[in-house]
Amino acid sequence: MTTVRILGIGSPFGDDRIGWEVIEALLESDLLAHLPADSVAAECCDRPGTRLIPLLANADVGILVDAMRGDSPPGTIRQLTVDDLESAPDAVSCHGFGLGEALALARTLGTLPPRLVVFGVELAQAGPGDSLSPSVRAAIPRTVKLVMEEINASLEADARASARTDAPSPAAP
Amino acid sequence: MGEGRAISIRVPVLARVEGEGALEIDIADGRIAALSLRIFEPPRFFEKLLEGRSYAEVPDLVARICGICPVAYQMSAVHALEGIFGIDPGPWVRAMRRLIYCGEWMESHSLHIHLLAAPDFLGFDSVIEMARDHPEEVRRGFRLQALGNDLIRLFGGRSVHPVGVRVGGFHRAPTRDEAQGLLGRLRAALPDARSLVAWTASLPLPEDTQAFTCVAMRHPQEYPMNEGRVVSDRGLDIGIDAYDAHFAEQQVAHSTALHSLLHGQPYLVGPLARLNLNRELLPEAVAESLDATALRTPSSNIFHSIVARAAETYYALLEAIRILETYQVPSSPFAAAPPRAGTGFGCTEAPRGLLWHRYETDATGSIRRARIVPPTSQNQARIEEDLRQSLEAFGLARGDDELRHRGEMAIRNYDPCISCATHFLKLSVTRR
Repeated sequence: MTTVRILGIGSPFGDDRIGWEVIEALLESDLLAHLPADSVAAECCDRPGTRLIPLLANADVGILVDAMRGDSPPGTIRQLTVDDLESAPDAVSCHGFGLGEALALARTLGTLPPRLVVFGVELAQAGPGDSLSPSVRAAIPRTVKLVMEEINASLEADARASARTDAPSPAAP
Repeated sequence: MGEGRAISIRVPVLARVEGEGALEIDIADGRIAALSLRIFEPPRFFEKLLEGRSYAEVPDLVARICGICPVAYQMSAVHALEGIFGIDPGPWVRAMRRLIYCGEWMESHSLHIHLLAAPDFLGFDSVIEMARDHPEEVRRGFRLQALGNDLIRLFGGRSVHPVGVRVGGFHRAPTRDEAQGLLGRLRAALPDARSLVAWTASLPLPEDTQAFTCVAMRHPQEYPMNEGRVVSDRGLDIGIDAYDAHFAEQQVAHSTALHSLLHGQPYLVGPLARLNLNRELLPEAVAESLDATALRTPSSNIFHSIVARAAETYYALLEAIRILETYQVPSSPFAAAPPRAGTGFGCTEAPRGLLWHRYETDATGSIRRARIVPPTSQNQARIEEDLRQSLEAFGLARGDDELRHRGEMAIRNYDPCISCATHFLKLSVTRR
């Protein structure tokens, strides 16, 4: 069975909560209801740093949602790969462990999920406070939709692969 | 989505980075004329944020100060508030607080040992490089870190914060099955923890003996975590409410962190100070693992901090096993905590050392004033003193890169909350 780990990465500071809010919206919706609970799991992580490595280990698919600060308008969603993150020079995070470094370390240890996607949501502000900026909050439904598309695409790809494996093989020569 | 290939991702200062570090050295005539370590530190900002908030919100708010040691902030806070309200939550809560603290020590220490400190001693620029040659050691670090995290999550309502902590106890009690399941996994990790002590002691640690004062809590029967008196190896022995009479915080121009001094002098808090002052309280198994190394207490080589951290990881694992072996589900996981006006103190041993809180509440339990003295600001004067001595001994004629690397190594021993930034320690040297 394909295991999918969906992680919302954030901290309790303003728009940096976006990763958590997306996961909460996903869990409150019934979108995951039709999927087997032991195969697809979503959770929020507070500044996980290297905790990401055990959280992602043994998963076939990793889907991460995180705030990003780039030069796009607030609420812009970007789909990033591990290579994008590793090459980002300013990805500094808790105790020297940014997302890119944690994923690079997972790759070195051979525990990185074979399929991994990061959705970055451009933030407006990350000050104290429990609320999101309106432009960032407005990105939640679309981010949820993108996460669901990625889950479904992964499960379909896996179903196709196992159908090929399960199909009766041609007689051995 | 994503048209340009150049991507700039910056993580907001408050959100992820525990602090920022910059080291400035002024060298004149081959001596250090001035040295300052700049630190940005979030607790100061939280002291103001807490004013006017209800006591019930405090555990959750202070947990946000640090993504690595939220439990420590919660523990000092709940003890202080319960002191004001005059309640004793009883033996179950006391044991569980020790258990959750064991989780935080395991998590924080194994992170620091394997990911931050060990690459320095083995000559790697980062753990990513180290993992290529030493994958099993790095995996061991993650196993111990994950177990620590699981201990904390045993009480957590949500995975984000250990919000399971409240004034009076916990929001929920783990079930017997949850406790039993984790107990089995903790026992299975004992070989990891034992080998960790030997491995850290086998690293090529520099010999750098300095004179410094150690400060830690001391409890008559147990290695200190939540309770005890504040003691030093120079005869200090005070209750936590007398802290202000002996320790003074000074504002220094170059840092947002206040420098904390004991009778006007720098001092050390953290694992090596705790070990130096409390070694006889360690169980036999941990003492034996230390006896097999070259470390003798009291040690005045700050580079032994990594071995102390390993010994405390082993201790925390054994202590968590001891507590879970007799685990019972209580009738209530908390005691009622009716608020009242007053002033209270909390002092506990965070992974990085003494964490002292003081609160004033009004009759409704609203916070009138808060003071938080974290371990990093207590160690800051000691770090600067260490840097002066160790860099002069190392040789100031060396290049900036060599000085920076040595400086980073010295700073990282203290596992300051600027560990992150010290990977990118900005060094400016003025030579005259």
